[in-house]
Amino acid sequence: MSFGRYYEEFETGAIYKHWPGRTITENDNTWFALLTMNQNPLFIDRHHAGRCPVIDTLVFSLTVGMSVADTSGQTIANLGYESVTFERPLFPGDSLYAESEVLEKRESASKPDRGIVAIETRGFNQDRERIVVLRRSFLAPKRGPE
Amino acid sequence: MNWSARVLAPSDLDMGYGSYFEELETGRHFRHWPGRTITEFDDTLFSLMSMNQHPLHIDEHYAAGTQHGRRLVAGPFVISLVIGMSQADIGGRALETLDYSNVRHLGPVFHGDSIYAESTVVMREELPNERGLVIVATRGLNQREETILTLERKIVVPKRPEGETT
Repeated sequence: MSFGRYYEEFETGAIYKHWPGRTITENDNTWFALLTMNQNPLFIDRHHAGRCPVIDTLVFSLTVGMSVADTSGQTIANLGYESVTFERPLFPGDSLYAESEVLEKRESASKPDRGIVAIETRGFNQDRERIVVLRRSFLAPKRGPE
Repeated sequence: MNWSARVLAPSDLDMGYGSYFEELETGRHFRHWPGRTITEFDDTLFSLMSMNQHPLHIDEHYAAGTQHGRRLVAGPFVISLVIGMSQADIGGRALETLDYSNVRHLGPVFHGDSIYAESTVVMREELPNERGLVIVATRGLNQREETILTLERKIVVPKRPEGETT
């Protein structure tokens, strides 16, 4: 089992279901917010917020992280994200799962040893409600002649 | 004196972290402070905690054989930190983040680099229920003032509560 995929192994329209997912704890949420200097009390002060949702940057980072083993684990460079849309809140105690669909792949115009792959990754909670959807592109190396 | 009653009194709640809708005028620019140095520990912890096991972030021996010859800081860490740094001026009162768009990694970030950020309000629009929608463009830069990240995000912020000053 390899980590990530070579350019040849991506197929437009294929959906990869990532495994495992994970439960986000209140501890995760607090230290993630503080480590990244995000002190919005919505995420770190239960008395202010009533109920603290999981911080958006953690939902985003974890969704990307869970997708790497099946998608960009061989990548040379992650180019960026066209969009990251948060559709529903996630709360500590909820689990997050993800899947990715290959939107497009094309050869690099300048370098024959790689290609550009665009994927859409979707994050779901334990009830299969969609939490986040994001689109990103990265450079995938070719396996080349064996 | 009842300490918790005192600190939770409404006049003490306004400590100035983040902005209300009224303060986020279109075109307004903020240079965020402070920045911070990303350490090797930060990046390893962040990568593993977010289940990102790409060896480029966690294996120095592997990374030595790649384009930059050393580990690169995980992209989501750079994005999360740049957004986090902007909160003191912008989203520190935000009720919700709706989306990020046009997120571009424009340069590599290595362990030991310091990251800073600045933002401009791109547009805003009133919403019902004393709230407003704000689109913010944020740029991340390193200690050499090279741009390493640009992104936009759409957030919902409250209007200033009636009677609250400053």
